[in-house]
Amino acid sequence: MSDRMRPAEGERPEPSAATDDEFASFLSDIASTVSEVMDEAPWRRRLAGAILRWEGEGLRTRRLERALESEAAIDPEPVVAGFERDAARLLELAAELRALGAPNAGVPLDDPDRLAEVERHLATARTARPPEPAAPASRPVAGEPPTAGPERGAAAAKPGSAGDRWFANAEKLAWDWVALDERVVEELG
Amino acid sequence: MSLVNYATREITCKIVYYGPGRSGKTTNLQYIHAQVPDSRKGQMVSLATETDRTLFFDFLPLDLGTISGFQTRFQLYTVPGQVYYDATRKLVLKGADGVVFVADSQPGQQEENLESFRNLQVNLLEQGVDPRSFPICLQYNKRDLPDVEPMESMDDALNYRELPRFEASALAGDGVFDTLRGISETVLRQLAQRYGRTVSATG
Repeated sequence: MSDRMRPAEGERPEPSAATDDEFASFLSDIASTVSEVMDEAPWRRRLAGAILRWEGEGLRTRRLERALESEAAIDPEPVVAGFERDAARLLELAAELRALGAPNAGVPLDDPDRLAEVERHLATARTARPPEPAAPASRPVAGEPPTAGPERGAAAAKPGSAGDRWFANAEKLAWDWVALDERVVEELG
Repeated sequence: MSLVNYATREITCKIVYYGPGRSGKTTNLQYIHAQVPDSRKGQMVSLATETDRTLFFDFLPLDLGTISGFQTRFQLYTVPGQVYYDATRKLVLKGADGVVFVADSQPGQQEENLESFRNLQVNLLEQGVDPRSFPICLQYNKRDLPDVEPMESMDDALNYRELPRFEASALAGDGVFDTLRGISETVLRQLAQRYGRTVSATG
């Protein structure tokens, strides 16, 4: 070991001599350090995996990203579980809105952090839906289970149905196209 | 600068070579550039005067490839050493993750070394960075010259914080990668400490 190239005490005991493969040696050491740092943060891996998954579904993941930026280690499971619950609910609401043929009116249907806005928008869309002449009893009823909405909307959306004012509506067609696009992206992912 | 981006799975590490004029900062980068395979490096950008002194800065991007699933990149910069380019130094220092302070070991250069080291600390403080906890490594360069300051003298002047320090002769390449390895590991260990864990030195 060259005394001239001695590092400070407490640092690496044997510095590498100048060789033709200095960079490879450097790279190997840095890879070990990076692996060590990354492997000590499994909670970050869990969050990063959830982000990649839900981004692939076309959803915004700000809540998970904020958790990822936490400086102290956290338990990722409650965060991920909460996000997944909201994401699943959001997808349900978005499907119902599509079935109703309601315009999104600027309400984001890809952000689980804004679930409340989508809930309100859906409630408005349900009540704004015009009465169907053939079946007036099918108006929204307070306390009705939310699953009744998509079924009713799907039935009303049948092509040729007299009560479906969204049929052949350009906005609805555009919305259907977006949904198709999302499915294609998902399959590719 | 974000050191680790888990969402995009990238690690970007900005390391700045700081020090007085003609201490060998650019020579460090030139040696590294020469040793790194083409596939792992970008173009080294240097803005120099007619007399080969760094006017603005040098920049050398290194792509270390994918490590533990993270695309790992190092960005190496130098600052101009001359006193009157302080604004440039501040600009280059912004967002740095670590600093290599390159000191000139020749007798009679201690005052310049000290002035530049003080300037580094002032500029870090101006940017809201505490120099006492910021990753810094010292490189005592030009140790191959026949007449140099003893190591003890260099330490007394610059290393009162017991920072990692390396002897080097950047022109021949001696100690250049040891220094780069030293600052890289210091930066990464600090990253781990920030998350409440400890990481031992590799190797």
